[in-house]
Amino acid sequence: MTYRRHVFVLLVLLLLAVASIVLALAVGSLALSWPDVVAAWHGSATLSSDVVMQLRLPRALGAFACGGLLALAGALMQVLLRNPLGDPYVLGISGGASVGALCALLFGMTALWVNLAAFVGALLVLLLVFGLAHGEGSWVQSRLLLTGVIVAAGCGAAVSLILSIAPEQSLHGMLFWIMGDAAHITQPYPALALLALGLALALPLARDLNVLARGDFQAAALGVAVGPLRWMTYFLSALLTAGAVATAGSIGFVGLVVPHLMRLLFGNDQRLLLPASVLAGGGLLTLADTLARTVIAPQQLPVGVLTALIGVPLFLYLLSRQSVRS
Amino acid sequence: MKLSVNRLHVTVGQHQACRDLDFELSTGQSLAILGRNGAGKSTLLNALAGLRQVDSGSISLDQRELSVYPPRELARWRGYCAQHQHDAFPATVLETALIGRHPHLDRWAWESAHDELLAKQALARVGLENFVARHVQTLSGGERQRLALATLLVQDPEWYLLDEPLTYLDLNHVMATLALLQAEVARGKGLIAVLHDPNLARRHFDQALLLFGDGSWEYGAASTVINRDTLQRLYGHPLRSLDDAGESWFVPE
Repeated sequence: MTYRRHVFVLLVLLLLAVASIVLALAVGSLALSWPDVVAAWHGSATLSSDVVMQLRLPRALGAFACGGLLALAGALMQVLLRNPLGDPYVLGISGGASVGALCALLFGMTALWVNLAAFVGALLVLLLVFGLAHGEGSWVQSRLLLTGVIVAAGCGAAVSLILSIAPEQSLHGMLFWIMGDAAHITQPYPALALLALGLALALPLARDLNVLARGDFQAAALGVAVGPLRWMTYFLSALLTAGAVATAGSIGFVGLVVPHLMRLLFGNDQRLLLPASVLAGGGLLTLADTLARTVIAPQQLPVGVLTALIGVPLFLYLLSRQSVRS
Repeated sequence: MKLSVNRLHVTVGQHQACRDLDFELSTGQSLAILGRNGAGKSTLLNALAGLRQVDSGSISLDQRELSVYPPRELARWRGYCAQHQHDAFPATVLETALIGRHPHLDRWAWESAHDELLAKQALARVGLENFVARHVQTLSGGERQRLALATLLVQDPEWYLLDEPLTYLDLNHVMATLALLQAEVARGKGLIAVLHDPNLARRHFDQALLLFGDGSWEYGAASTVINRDTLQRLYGHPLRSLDDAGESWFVPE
């Protein structure tokens, strides 16, 4: 019966995610009705077809992929650190990506190179933190966290340095990148492929992760190979985060709040929590991005601001409701 | 099933828990480990559960070294219950008992109605049958400890390794838990527990292992190894022996 409930919850979330993408296709400076979107999909109306297929679809899919990546990475990080306040950025991945991207922006490179530089920066930090925190013993967890936090702080200083020496005209682009912005997504498929890979690797481990969430000793006593599982989870989470920030900048909040929100609603069974986080994170970010480009159109907002504006009240409401119940 | 310990050295940092430890225990027997705080009782128990590297010597189950068992298979032979339970995430009492089924289920299998029944039976045995839907984070220390024991019963290994299972319990639950453990031993399970109370160890366990904190140890039948002289040496405090109905009770001076 838990199984049926899980399937039902996932179907509902899937419908909401699809609805968020359809909405993203229809809404904008060129407002389209539902038949228009369908016609554009079939390529029978040229102008709206271009708008939908060339502009809105890649952006919506890219936003969905990033939201899903960040939420999945956050859910994994929360189990890994055994802390519901875990966040995909806590180990400095986004800091490394920001330094890479801002360097590329400083030298006036194109969007593709900016994304690539962000990915390289994220990978460098991933290897650095892993290399420094690697070791045996029960305190690896806190060493990992501390190393990540310190490296993130270093990256923060580097970001401030770049911002202070950057020429006036590139500052706007840099700020949008730091806050997270889906406007430059032209190619959503690498991020979508990474998301599919992440789910394919994480789902078979979901019940092991359930046991790992109970603590290392308990998990080892119940037959989980704790060491390999922990490092695998770390690498996967870091890789997913790197993919997301390389695609749309360091969008905050989704990775922290979506898994937490799903846990408040549906409990901590990773077999439900991981796919539910992907669908909800993707849907939330797609919705937030649609709002970001329409609320005060033609002016666009960085989507990271919108995710926080939607997520914070929702989260606080659920939290207060839960404290009343228990 | 036989647990054999040969020439075992276990150290924690600079401190030696045991040196050249040798003993053999079969399922259907119980062993109490006694010693001062910091003597290395928990460390030794972790090593016996295969959760910690040993310095030298061997621990084997049925003549096979613990370290060669795949983790999942080992989890079906021995269970371990830690001294403290820390719940980082919300979960119900039933869900927590159900994770004991983890080593018995295939990767893609879901807990069945049968698994749920096993969990509910285990909860009833530790007196938590009315707590099924309660959240673990709302339990008291003693209730949480009994839940951990229920998870172990659900895991249903051949060997129960318990680190201070009686610490948070009040008197009636101490006695109920000891009765439950003795019933499990009578059913053919092996039991190894770290304890603080030498009187309970002497009365309810077959064998005893005393760790003196400098690497030296004494092993034997609980009724003979636990006496006034060894306990005075073990705890470094003068004791008085009181005799009642053929049993000796040791109380501090």
